[in-house]
Amino acid sequence: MKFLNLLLLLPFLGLLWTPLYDRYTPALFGFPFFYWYQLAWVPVTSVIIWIVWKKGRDV
Amino acid sequence: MSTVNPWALGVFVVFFAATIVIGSSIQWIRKLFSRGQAAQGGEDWSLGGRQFGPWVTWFLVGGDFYTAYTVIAVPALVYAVGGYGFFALPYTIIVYPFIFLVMPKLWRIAQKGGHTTAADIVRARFNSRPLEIIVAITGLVAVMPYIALQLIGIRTVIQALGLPGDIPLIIAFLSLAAYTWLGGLHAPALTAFIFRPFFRHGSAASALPPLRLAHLFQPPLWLLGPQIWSLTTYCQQNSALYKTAA
Repeated sequence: MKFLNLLLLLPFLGLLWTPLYDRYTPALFGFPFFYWYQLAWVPVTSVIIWIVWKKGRDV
Repeated sequence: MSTVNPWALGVFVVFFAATIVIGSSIQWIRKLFSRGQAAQGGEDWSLGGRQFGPWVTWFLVGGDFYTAYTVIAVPALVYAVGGYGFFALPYTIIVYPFIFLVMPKLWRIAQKGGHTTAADIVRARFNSRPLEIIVAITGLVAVMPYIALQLIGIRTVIQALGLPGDIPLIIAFLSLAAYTWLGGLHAPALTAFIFRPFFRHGSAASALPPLRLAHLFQPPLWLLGPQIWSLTTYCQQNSALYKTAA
């Protein structure tokens, strides 16, 4: 199940590659994409860590 | 300069004094409750005797994050330069997966070897005293700007209460220093437990007319715990240095 640990790389890919989300659209409730995309990673990362904690580990 | 609101100032002083008194006397209080079991020196002071479970740790991590950096510095940066200030968000998010992989290993090594600081681990691993001292000094220097920021945060809070000059700041700093030296990690752990509910429920309480006053004092109270905690961190680094020097 070690491959599940690779999920932890997703926040790094999704957040450190700035051109990926440096955009206004699509807006959500009036928030530009740039803002809500980053905030959305907070719960997503929590879920990823929870999955890895339950299923992965054995590093 | 705003005028002093006696109620706001009164509540601030009461909570501040309560925090300082409880935190400073925590070692004495603990002795009362568990007779015979005296504190065991540095490990008890800096790590709470390695007895904190997930709950206490969670509160401490919370206190670690909601600092003047979070509630004053980053919002100010966003107001000043806009989206650039958002660096703080990805940074905080990716720190957790990293911590999740690295810290359990670090924790195991530290527990097995009885290490208290990063410098201790480095020394045991590489058997090098210069490297140990470099790590300790790096930690100390790196945390300095952060402490400066926390002090500016305290000053902002004190000035918002209407107290001018540096004397209140000096008093606050000295009390927090005493709190940290006397209480160790037990102090912020305990006060986080006692006072966090007040901060968190402050906004809910402000909906009730009799408790509306609480709303006024929320920001100063909210800032208090983290200041104390960062001072503790500072002193931990300091203790590493003292130990290497000894």
